[in-house]
Amino acid sequence: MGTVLLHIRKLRVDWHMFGAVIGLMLLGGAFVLSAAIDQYEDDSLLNSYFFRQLVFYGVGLGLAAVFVVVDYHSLAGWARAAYWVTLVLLVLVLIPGIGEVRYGARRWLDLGVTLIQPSEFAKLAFIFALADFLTRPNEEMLMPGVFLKALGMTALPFILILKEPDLGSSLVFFPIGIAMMFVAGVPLRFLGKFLGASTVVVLFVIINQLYFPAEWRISLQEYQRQRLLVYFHQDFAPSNATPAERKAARALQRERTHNIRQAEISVGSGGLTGKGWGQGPQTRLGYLPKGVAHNDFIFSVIAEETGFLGSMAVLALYTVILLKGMQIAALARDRLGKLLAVGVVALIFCHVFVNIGMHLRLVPVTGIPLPLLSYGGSSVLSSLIAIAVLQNIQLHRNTY
Amino acid sequence: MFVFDQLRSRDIPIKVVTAFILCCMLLLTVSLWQLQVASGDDYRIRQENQSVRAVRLPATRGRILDRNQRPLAVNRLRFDVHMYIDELRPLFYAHYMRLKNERKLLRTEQVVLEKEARYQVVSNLTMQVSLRLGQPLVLDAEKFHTHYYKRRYTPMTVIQDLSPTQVARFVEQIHAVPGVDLSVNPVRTYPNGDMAFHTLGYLRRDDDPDAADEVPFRFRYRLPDYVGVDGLEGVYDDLLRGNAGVKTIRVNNISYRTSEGVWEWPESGYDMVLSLDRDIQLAAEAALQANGPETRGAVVVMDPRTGDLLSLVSLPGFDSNKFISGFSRKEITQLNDSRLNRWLNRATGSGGVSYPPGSIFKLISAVAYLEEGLVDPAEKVYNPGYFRDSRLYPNYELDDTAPPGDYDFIRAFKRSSNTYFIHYALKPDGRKDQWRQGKQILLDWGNHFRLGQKTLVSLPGKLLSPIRESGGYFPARDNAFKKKNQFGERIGWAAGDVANLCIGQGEITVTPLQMAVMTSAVANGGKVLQPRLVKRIDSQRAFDQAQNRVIPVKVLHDLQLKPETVALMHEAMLADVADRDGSGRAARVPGLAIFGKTGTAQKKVPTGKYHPRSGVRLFRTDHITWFVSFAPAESPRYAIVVMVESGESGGKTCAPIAGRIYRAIRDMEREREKGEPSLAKR
Repeated sequence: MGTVLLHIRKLRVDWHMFGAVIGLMLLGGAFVLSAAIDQYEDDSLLNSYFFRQLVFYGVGLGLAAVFVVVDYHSLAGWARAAYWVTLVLLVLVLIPGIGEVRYGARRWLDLGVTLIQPSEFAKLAFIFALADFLTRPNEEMLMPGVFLKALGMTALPFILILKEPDLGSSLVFFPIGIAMMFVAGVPLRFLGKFLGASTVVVLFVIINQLYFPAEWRISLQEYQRQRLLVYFHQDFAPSNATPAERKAARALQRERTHNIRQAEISVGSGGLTGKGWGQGPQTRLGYLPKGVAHNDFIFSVIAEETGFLGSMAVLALYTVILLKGMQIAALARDRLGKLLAVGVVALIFCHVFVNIGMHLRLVPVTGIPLPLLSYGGSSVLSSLIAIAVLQNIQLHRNTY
Repeated sequence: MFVFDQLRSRDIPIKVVTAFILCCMLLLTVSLWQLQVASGDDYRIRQENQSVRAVRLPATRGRILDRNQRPLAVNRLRFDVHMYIDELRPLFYAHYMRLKNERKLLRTEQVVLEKEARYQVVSNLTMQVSLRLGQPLVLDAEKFHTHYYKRRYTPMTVIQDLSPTQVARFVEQIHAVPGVDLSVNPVRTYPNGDMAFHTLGYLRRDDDPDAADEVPFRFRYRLPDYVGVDGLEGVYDDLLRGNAGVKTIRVNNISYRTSEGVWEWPESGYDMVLSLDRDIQLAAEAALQANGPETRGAVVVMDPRTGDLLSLVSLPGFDSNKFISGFSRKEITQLNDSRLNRWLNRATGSGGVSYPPGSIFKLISAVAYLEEGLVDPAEKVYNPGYFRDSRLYPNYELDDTAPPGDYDFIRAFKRSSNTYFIHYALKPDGRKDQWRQGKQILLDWGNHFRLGQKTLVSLPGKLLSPIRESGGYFPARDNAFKKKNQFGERIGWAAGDVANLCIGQGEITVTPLQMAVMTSAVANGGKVLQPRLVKRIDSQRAFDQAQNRVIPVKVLHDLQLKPETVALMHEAMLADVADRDGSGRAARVPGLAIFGKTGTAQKKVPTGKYHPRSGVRLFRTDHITWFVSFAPAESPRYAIVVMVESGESGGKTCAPIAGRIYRAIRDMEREREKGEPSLAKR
């Protein structure tokens, strides 16, 4: 412990990154408040999203402190156990009666005080487990068995989360796994083959969903198919639909595209400088649905009320965290540290890119939260822990 | 720079990952620029479009007043009860929860129940309003649901046009009913009912969403507005109507009103001060109406000094108010009655209608003969009771209503001898056949009096003519052929046509308004005046007074009559009313010198039947009866023209009507003379 304090005194903590995290938390607090500002007129403060988010930030910072000071090598010792525990939790979530259903998906465990989303923590446990597994001599990376095992470790949580269903969260595992394997030195020919194969599969699924007649389609969840249709700007109604069906399909399409359309209008109408905090009509008048404004669509609120400049500030803060993370990876004292750092950076990057990209219609709509900004305990906690891990690696760079 | 540290690192995978992240962040930046800055305005418009409803606020219509500022068409306040749906949301929810009663419902069932709950709440409130006002009210479910789905951001009308008692009751008890409020709206009203229907015109409800307005966008909702259709309301609609304003209502995602603002205040329309005198108008209408319940006719009262139209009557008319309040079945039948044709303005000949003048045209013939020196007023012409000259005009023969005997000018005029006037038309110098010369004189003088032309053209200030009128028909001065006949052939003039023309038959039709201009010209010594209906156009707004317009008196043509002609004409016209054997004797009023001329024109009217063998259309003869007049003797102030369709004769039908009007005017003037000094004393 003494050595830790010594390191802090030597300012080994990355203060740029720390500043960016604080900045994001301030923004997050301010705009979770703005997103649900009407809540405070008739609800008690203690019950409000804003207050709870502050609590999450507090708890998260506390947890993060633990994850900063305990050497990541000790943490990695628990990696495998944590990985399997989260897998068990993911299985438990799927069992009716244990898993809580929200918005048509079984993703949550009720802890009495709050709901937790095990998939958020599964990502962290997975990063630790994979980093631990890939921490082996370079020669072993050339063995197909290791690659396949690593792939298997990625696929297991993927499948369980896909079952919830939560396609967005589950798909995040692959880029993280690939990035870590790539940095670990898995030969490009393995990765290339895998990427090629998965591209073919994904393309096939998309084409299958969009253009095949109903009886030939792979059975996805209906909402997943609809999101694909929305993303590719396809008509909901099949070409042989009767006028009544077409009308119903169009109504459904309007309903399904409502969130993303309103999010796009929010972001776009923000202009250069935005409409001011708490002044966005999209949010205030409820066009941006109240159910999602404070979590998955928090970026809409920020972009509407602070404009392009505010959006740029958000992007800049994330970029600081991501690049600092890569720097930490590059300077890590060992392979474990480097792989952990790359995994965490990939995790944060995926969330940021998918969530903001969704507002800009670059990626389909998914329920992926924006780290530190979106309301939600699991997301805030896992994001803060992830960043704490980066600081941990930085802090323990020189302690042999 | 720490950003590029990684890119310089020797660890190639780290470099690649960092570069990839940077590229992706750059992509987000570019996309955000594209969305927020490059096309930010488009999205702002989309955002406005979905959250702002523009509601058109109609302006207060300008008033139409008579020459003494008495109201002819004004706005009264109408009190309506409005219900603000957005204020009832908590009630809807509470009632829904009560109806739901802790049951589990499917989404579709919820929607049905919510709808039902809303209806029950509003229906219940309507009932409460009904009880408080003491008037049974039923909420139409269909109407309510339509209002709720289409424009719940605007208040719903519960009841229109409260009586003063109801207003008082409502104001006392308003607090007891949530969500309802009293709204006050100006509504057009015509205090004198069907008076001057054709002159004032009427309004039609106008909810055309594409109507041209000053505001460059479509309204989601238009508050009820009216557009003028006929008469002054129609012609000067853009002046009277003012400019509509715009109210913007910000609505939330379920279309409930959240805030309101006025983007542009409405600008009220201009007031019009007419030349009409309400009392004379009422007297003239009463006088004409006294002829019989189905009288079709017209009265024009004009001031021969200025051309001011003091009264412009066309019967039968209709109550302009009904176009706003709605018609009963009987009233619709009345409006569609093609025989009475209430839509026609018979005084000005709207719709191209015009009438043969008959003997009143002798005013022009007489002036022409006197001015051209053709006639010696003292010279006597023998009238055998008919006109016939088998040697010169073998095909022409006409009975004279005047008894046989010798006629000089005055006698011929007051007895309306056709023979006398035809004699001079065909033999202008009294010696030989010179009907072509007679024709030219008549055409010249008819055109001097502006016959065949609309009276209200090229108004000062580029104003539109305030009335729709017909110019009638009168041949141009160089006319060589008659009007086309029924086979479309043009036929040359013959002596008989000239004989007909000089007594106001044949190639001539006129409107009562033209005859008023003619009579005024004779009365005022030869000035053909432009009639004036609108005297002033005033802005209601203090800072726009500079735009006020006064329509000046306009002399169209000065005939420059010889004083002897004028004196003789006046003498003959006075004799027509004053003398025991004058044809217009029925118009005389004790204490007022009235100058007049009667006319009874024959008009062929298709009977709607055809000859059984030849198939030729059958006509019957109808009479258009006239009386033109002016009074008093010194500086005539009133020229009155009365025309009645299918009357008996000018002397029997129209002269008494004119007499009643003069009597009313005389009484009014006496009243005023008595009244004014007492006012002055105070």
